[in-house]
Amino acid sequence: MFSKHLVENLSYQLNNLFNSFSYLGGEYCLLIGIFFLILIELKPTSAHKNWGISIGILTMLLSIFQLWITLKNISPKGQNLFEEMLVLNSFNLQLKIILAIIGLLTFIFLAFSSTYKEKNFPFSEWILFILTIELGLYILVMSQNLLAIYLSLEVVSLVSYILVALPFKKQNAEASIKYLLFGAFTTGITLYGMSLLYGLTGSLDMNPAIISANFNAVKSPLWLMAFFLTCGSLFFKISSLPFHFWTPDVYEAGNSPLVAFLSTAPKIAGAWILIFFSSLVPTFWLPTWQVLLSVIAILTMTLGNFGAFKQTNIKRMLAYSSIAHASFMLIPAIVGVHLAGNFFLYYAVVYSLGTFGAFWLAENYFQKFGTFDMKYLKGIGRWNVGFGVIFLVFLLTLNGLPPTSGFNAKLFFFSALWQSYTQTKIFMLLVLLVIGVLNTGFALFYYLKIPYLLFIKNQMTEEKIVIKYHYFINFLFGFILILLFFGLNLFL
Amino acid sequence: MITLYVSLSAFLFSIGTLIVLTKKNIIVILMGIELILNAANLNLIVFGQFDKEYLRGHVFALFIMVVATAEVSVALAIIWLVYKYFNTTNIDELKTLKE
Repeated sequence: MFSKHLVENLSYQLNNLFNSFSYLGGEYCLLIGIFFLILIELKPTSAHKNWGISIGILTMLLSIFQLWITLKNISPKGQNLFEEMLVLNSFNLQLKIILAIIGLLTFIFLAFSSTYKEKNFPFSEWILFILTIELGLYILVMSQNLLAIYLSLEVVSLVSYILVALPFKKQNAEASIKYLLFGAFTTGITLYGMSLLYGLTGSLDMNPAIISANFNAVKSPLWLMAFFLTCGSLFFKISSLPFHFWTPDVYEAGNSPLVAFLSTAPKIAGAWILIFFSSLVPTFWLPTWQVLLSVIAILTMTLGNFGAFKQTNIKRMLAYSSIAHASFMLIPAIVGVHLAGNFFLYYAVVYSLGTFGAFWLAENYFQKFGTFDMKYLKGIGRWNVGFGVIFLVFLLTLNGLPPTSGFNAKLFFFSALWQSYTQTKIFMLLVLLVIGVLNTGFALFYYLKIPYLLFIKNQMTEEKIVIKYHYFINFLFGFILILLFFGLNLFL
Repeated sequence: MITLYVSLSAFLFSIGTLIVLTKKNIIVILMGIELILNAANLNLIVFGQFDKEYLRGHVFALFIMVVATAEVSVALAIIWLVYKYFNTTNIDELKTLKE
């Protein structure tokens, strides 16, 4: 039954397996944290929400520490794990550290959010699920194999559906079922594409050697179609155009820490896998692939910005802004990892901090007024100067204007796009560049709506309304964002 | 022979996609999604015949079945929640979140 070749190599393979396990320190920390949280959940009372949050924060800190140790010891050319299923290199590890910091921020955000004061909210389960998503994302960014990519993506997706449904209210149920149906459909499309890729190349591994070994199969248009279908789940994860419909509903229904997490961590990991996939496209398909992604990026950013323009709900507006940002995550995939690989990490940090800050202040606004509708913002800027100014910093970061580091991130991406255009002379890249710049200008209209309402509009009543916000942490975010603008060489 | 199987799976994929795009009942949409997953499974098993040494296609198909079961159980739990609030499983009637 089993082939001889496999049995003879058994001891070698077992050794390889055990050796691979020694590189997964960060993942073990998450597993231990998940185990403790399950133990806590055995006795269901609402008293252990502080326990849950402490265990979550401790787990993420330990995980960051472990990843940092692995980063110090990793060899420069990387390490293949589990028979080339996963690859570990310094870039992956830095990305994992960013993801872990996002998880840490999510738990801190939860402790300060209005969700924390709710009576029947299942805290330790919520933290357990966030840790599970982190585990899936850690494995996703290392994946080099279709099976590993599918399984880790499914871990992330399935747990996200549950998390959106978790407070079990009416709007959560509705958002969650829409999210699930879109997600399951895109997963089906991705799997169909993966099965065709497997049939064409005879292997589940995704590396340049496999692509070049099957030259005839890769040359057929069917391969490109299968490859595009395989990227379906990734488009869904970064909420890019064909599969973006879930974003506004989920963002409106989910609680703020969850939405801040969902709009950063899975998007960054998904965008990275998309960049990795694009690096595999052989040279004769590259122009077609670039045009295809450029068209998606153009449509995505235009739709996102126009959708955001008419929103009156802060969270829905940020959801459309996050759709518009999906197109900027496509740019490194278009220009290739050699031009934009390092910028991607910078962009990931800037985008995460900006998004977290904006959602944090939106949550503070919600704690005061009990709604995310913008109508109460009118004219209260003179009582809340700090709140307004720091909100402006986050919105300018998301829009990409100086003096915030969002400007640098956009400048890098656009200059990489220009460089790619001068090399390849593909007209679509120039169109993308022009429309991208125009959209950045157009996006100002809705990003500056909040500061406009705060400072320019007149207040309806003469009452003094002061929003309590967590100034220490928000000013820290804003300070980092401005520091990254000036002290760029600290980072790169 | 392989052409027949691959055509059958393409046919299943098309039916599944059509069901997802046209039907209104959430449970029927889930059935369409299952058809798409089974199309992928069929493809993987057919192509796995040429990969006798490692049987990666078969292994992948097994994983898909297990994960699909998990997905359906989560979906049914959420559908139960939706039914509790909306008293319907028609996807068009779920529109409290639209503006």
